[in-house]
Amino acid sequence: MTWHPRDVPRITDAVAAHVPADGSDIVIFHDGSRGLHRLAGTAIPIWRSIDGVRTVDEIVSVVAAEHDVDPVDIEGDVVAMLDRLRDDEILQRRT
Amino acid sequence: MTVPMDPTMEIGPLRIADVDVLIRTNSTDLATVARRVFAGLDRPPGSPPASRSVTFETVGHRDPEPHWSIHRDGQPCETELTDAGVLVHQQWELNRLAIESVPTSIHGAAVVVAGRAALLVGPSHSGKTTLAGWVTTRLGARFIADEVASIDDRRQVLPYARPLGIRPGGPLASAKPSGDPSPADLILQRFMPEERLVPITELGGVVWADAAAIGLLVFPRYDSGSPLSVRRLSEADALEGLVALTPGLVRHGRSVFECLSGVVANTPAVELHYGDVRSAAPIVVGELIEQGGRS
Repeated sequence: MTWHPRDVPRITDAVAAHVPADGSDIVIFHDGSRGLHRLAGTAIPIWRSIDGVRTVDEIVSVVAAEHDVDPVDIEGDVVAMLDRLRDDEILQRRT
Repeated sequence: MTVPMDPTMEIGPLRIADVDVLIRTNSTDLATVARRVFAGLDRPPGSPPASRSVTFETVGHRDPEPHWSIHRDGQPCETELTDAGVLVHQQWELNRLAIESVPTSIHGAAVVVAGRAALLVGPSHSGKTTLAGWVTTRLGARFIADEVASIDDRRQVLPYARPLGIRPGGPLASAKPSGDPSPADLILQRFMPEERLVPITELGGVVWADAAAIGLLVFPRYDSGSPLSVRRLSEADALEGLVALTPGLVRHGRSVFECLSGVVANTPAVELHYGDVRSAAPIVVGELIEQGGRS
């Protein structure tokens, strides 16, 4: 089941993230699977905008504004990334 | 000569992280060699006993064939070791103990310059031991750890001055004085016919006996004949490199990741690709001094 525009993604408690000061990839560690994930490129601003308060719609808007593009043009990519992170149990829907 | 089967000779106490270690053996030869080889791990004089202790019994047997066994606190580690394997395996058991004792223990070596440590991180045969040995014996750095670089809660490297594994024909082998083998050398050859375990002090190096703040991460990559190249690593690349070489991550999880994350956030990192340790070693010292000047 994919995200609804009003869903609020939140980072699960099992996750620790290293957000580098040098602008390099974000490194995510999942304590349950002990797996490592790297987020690069456009995934970085998406990750930064996930704060457990913003809805999917708001995240799309924030990222679109940051890149000066139409939200409609990036909505699919943002949702696809959120889907992937949810499948990896890095994100969950805030209840 | 009858070899007593009771392990009556003791080596130690050694200090591995927060553990006091005794090695008991029934072999005079092994005791002689082990005291010499593991001298860098001796508990510092005047130190109070550690809160934990571990006893190894490393026993030579004659029946049905000559062989060795190693037990740790009564539990078998290995029971069919040859002369050539017993000391190497004993060292491996000490490494394992170091890794068990400190969750963030990285496969690496470390040297100290001007009070700050360069952590040399890499898999076997990446050249970290050669680099650490050369920097210590030729450039005046202090030797703090090899094979296992344990990081404490304050992100400092803990001392683990195990002997260096020196391969015949390697750069560090030439640092050892040559000449006719003495009786002691013959005993050494019995237990170490190939790779030699040599304390850094026997190569003219000096041990750093305290914890040291990390000033530089170096990922050496040795390829014979390769030209020297130095590449700055991003935090992400450095963190991924550390994670891959920290076995405690699987067992301890998040706390280890967060420790490594803190290390890369505060420490510059370089990949050092080299084919000649003589040109690579000054890079380590120079980078550490440069970073120390910035902090």
